Amino acid sequence: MLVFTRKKDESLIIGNEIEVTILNIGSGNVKVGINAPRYISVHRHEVYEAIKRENLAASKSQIPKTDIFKKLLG
Amino acid sequence: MLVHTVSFGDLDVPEDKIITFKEGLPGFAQLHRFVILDLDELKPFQYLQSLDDPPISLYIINPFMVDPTYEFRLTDSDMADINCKNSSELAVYAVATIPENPGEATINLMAPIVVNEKDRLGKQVILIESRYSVKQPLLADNNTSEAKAKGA
Repeated sequence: MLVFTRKKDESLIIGNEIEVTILNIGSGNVKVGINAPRYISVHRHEVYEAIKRENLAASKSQIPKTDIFKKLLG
Repeated sequence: MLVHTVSFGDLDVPEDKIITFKEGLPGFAQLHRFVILDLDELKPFQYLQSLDDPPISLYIINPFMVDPTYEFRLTDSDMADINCKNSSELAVYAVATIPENPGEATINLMAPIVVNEKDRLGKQVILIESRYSVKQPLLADNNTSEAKAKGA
């Protein structure tokens, strides 16, 4: 892992197209601004991990051998 | 094309039903080819079956059936990924998690699966700044369960 020390309003360039700027430094959190092309998706890591976990849990679903879901059909 | 499913044996699926997920799915990045199986006995669910290894499958459901007010906006990058210019070309599904007690089933409204049906391209998108949960209780009378508290 590359480690940098940055001050407020300083930034990093990743590749040719991604710029990461430290916008504000608080106590216990930093505000980060990202300029990237629209085809690059940026997500909070914990959100992505939560969706990964949910997909793994979903893949272990039980076959719904019950009628309780039929009411959703209206 | 014969599709091997763990739960339903071998099913014959036309080649033109294959949906390509370029990035795979979160947690299953290595899986790119899927089909959606419609089986009467599974209604209201459908079955998203991987054609790559491992042959995982997910129960999916029409999210508007569960929450008629469900809405979201796709980013330009999501639209481009599935070659979509007009959202009316899209089919939308939510992934269901059905535990041993089916009354505790949830659906993931934060990361819907969108499919460009014309080009057969799919993506599980992550709704940025979404108010929707990855664990929305599927049955309304279960809305007070701990499933909701666990939502991310």
